[in-house]
Amino acid sequence: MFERFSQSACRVCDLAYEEAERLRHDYLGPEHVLVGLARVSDGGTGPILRSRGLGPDALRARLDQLVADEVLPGPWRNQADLLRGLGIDLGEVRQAAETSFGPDALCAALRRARRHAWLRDLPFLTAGPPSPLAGKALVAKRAFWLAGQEASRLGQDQAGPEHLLLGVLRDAEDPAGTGLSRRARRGCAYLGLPWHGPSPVRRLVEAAGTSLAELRTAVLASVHATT
Amino acid sequence: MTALAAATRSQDPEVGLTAVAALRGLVDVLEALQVENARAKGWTWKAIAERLAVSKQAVHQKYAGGRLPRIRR
Repeated sequence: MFERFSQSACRVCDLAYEEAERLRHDYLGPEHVLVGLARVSDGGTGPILRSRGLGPDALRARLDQLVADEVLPGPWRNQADLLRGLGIDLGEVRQAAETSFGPDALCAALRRARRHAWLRDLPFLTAGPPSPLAGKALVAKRAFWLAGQEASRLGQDQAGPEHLLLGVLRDAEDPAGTGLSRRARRGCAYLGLPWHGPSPVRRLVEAAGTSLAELRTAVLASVHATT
Repeated sequence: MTALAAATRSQDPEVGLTAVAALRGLVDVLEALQVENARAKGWTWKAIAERLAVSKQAVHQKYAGGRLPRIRR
């Protein structure tokens, strides 16, 4: 999935990660990617989003509002903070495990810890609540996959920020939790994420007074203008 | 952070239960890590089970086996 991402798409992912860190979220969701897309300087996504009232600062304010409305998880759910409350330093535990057994052993143990053998090789979140040692859950996975699909459909090998934005918009058309198994929805519920109803990205876009379809046409127009 | 530590010890079940689930996720992985290491060092399932205070069948069922589900006949 990621091997097709262009350099600026990877930069978007880094920015999205920063945003998830700011909100103390244990997952990387499409809503974080949207903030990354608004912040990134190269590629046409920043101007498109900013001209429609979806600049980084506006998005952050709306995300904070969604957290306050309990649509998105609050900062108290951060697993590292919860464990620190119990007197456990997660970073120290991870470092100790990695130095004595190596990072590969830790990855193997994360797969092993899945309760059922036949779930071990399935993608993340399918086996229920994620372990705090596993890092952030990749909730934006479907959006990333759709971004790759959009890039192929437009006949490009590499997926850039525009394709990522198209993927995020396509993902947001469906209600939250689409394409997830019952077990994965339980994982979402544990993270404090909505698993039904309008997706957070749709809420963000519609709160700015625009629509998913309108944004999509704007992005497609900019893609066709540059090629 | 002290406020959060206090919140964890507080009587709010939502915070307390979420913290316990996080702790369980941590313990599961550490257990798998140690079992894997013990097996690599040639420990028997019986010896591992004794240290974990569970039956040898339990630890074998949880950690032995390959990737595919066992076919039940």
